[in-house]
Amino acid sequence: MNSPSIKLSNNQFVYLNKQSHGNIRFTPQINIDVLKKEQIVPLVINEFIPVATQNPIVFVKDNQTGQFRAVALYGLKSEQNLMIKNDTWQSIYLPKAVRNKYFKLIENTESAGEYLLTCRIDDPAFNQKDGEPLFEQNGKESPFLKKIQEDLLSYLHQQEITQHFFTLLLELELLTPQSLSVETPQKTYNIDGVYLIDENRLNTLADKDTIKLKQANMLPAIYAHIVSKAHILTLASRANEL
Amino acid sequence: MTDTSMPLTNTVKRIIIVGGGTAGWLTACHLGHKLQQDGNLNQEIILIESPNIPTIGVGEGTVPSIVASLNKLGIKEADLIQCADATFKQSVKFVDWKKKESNESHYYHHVFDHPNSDKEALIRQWVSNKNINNSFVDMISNQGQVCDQHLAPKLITTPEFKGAMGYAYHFDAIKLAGLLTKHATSKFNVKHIKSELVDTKFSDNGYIRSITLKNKQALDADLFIDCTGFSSLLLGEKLQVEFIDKQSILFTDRAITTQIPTNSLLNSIPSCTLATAKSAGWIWDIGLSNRRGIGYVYSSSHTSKQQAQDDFLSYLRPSLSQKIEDVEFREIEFKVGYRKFAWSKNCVAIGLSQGFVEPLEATGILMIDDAAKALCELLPTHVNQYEIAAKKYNKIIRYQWDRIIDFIKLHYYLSDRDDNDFWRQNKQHDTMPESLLEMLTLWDTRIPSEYDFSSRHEVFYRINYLYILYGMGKRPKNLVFNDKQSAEIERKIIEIEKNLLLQREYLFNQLESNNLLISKIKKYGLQRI
Repeated sequence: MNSPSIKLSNNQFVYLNKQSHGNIRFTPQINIDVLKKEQIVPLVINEFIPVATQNPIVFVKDNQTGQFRAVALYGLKSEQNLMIKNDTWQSIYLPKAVRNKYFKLIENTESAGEYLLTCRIDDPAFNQKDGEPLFEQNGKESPFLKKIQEDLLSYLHQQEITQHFFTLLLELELLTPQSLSVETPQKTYNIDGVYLIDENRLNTLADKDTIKLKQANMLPAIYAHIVSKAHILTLASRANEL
Repeated sequence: MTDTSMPLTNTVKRIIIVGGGTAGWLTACHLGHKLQQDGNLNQEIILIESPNIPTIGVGEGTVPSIVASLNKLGIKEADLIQCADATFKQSVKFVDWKKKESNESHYYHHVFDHPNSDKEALIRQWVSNKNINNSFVDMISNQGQVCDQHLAPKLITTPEFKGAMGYAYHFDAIKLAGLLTKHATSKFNVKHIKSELVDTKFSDNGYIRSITLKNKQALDADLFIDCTGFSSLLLGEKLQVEFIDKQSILFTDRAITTQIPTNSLLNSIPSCTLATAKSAGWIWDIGLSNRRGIGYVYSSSHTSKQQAQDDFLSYLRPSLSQKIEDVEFREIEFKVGYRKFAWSKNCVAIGLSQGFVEPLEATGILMIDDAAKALCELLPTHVNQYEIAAKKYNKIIRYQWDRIIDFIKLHYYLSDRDDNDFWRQNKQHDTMPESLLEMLTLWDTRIPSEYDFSSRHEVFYRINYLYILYGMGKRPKNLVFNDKQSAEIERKIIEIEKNLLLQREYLFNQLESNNLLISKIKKYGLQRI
């Protein structure tokens, strides 16, 4: 069985505070060794267009919740990421889910709608010597940390829009399960558990439903997904070069 | 050329369902769905529900055919779990239906998995070789072991109404009726009147013309569906259709029941019904997401009320967290059998008003569902076609009741228990239906065949009989296969066994426990695709 699955990290997130983390600095970096083994990476809807220029965007179900997720497909089998060559990232765009790995907002259980910033403090990206300071001398959050919080809040917002995207797709029955069969001269790869937008169904949608998609501003994402599928062949040729 | 058609008069315009339990509302949904599919706007369905008569609501188990029905009716599977406390059922696990051997309990599974035809070689292998260690069910399916591990039949990513293996549900029948009420009234435009039936008026031809309700409302209709439970108000009481008693075959006539609240986070929920044999009957044990429903079905001719209570309590005691004095019990009396005709004049009985047998194989909701589906198909457009339709309908329904009775009786007949007259008499031939004796005579020396089940409307098929017969160890005698175990057959068997083992590893790896999946579905729902 070869179904792509989103991996959960075991690294613990801890709440950030100036008392314990006043001297901590952070060096933004990509953990290539981890990314190397990621066949898929989750996307939010405003990432569809930049990803679509070079990589396929498909939909999968989250193993833990059964909810739909949009992902960039980077490999033809589990633990394969063809967009990394000689330990360097080969695509123009790097999804936020990879960049944001070190920080996460967690909803305050005592005050709904308020978020608290957490980070993977044990990761070597955090240290006391190099990189951007998280807090200023006076104990205030650094501009860098503020920027991170803003980015994460906007990401949360994009996640909600992405979920709404799926609600609409499901309501209009536009998603269809599809087994991908990708042929290379050496071998045929079969990928299960993937869902695509049914183009026939999209083209025969009642006008009122098409207007619904337009008004929700979902059409660019839908067409980005459709165009991006061509890059499954790009992956096949990358696999062939291995 | 002769014209065989009769003049068509009196098109069916209004259908009244009397009674609002599982039977009433499931029938309302089926009929409503049928009218909607046909685009029939000239007919209306009214359901009369008495606010004072409680729903009996002990029927909590189902068989896989309900899955297709609920899907067809447009009910969401997640709603069953969120609103009717449903859990997944994959088998009936029969415990102690054979004598204990050196104090070891015997059990076997009647699973819902229907193995494909390539398992036939394994069935022959098991039947002809007494030295096989595997139980019959484990030889051909992984579902028995999946049940023993309390695993769910599907994943959170599996679309609704689909599973890695066949399944049905346990649910709270009263809450299910509530869900069906909402569905029938909102989706299928069924009119819901809360009042009690007080009078019935007849036409000259004996057809029911109208009913009068406690709120003084008089309603006429072309078809009346009697879902009034054991009282069978219209078909039994008003139309005087005879009840055919089957107690001489199936002896049980009482049940003592209770419900024990559970915490689904702490208690593991089995994904099968437990049916444990006792000295004068058997105990059902069904795990819902918030409670267990348990009941002792027994024969009052073979044990006293006091003894039955004591036996029931000793079953309950080990799993009780509260004091036994705080547990509420309900006593139910019932008669096993069915009405001679389910359809008479312009009245059809569905549910307990039509017939009843002990819930050993969860046939209650099964028969409601089947009878409602058959009615949808056979219901003519004109009232003067009723008689012909009724003849066909009654033949099918009666056939199904007789086959259910055969099948239930088989469970008792195969038992070697002799701790009470209840079990000894169950094996006497004068308590056996002729049809069952005939089949057993043939199966004494051969494996049951698909041709033994020739009707298209069987309730239980060959595979169900195999699970019971061979689960109880009733192999055919002197069976010699001339297969000579050619190398080819042997290779094939090894191949199939290997695949089963691979499948088992996959299932054990992937499937979550019944409770974990239930709590996830409560939170996230299930996808349609």
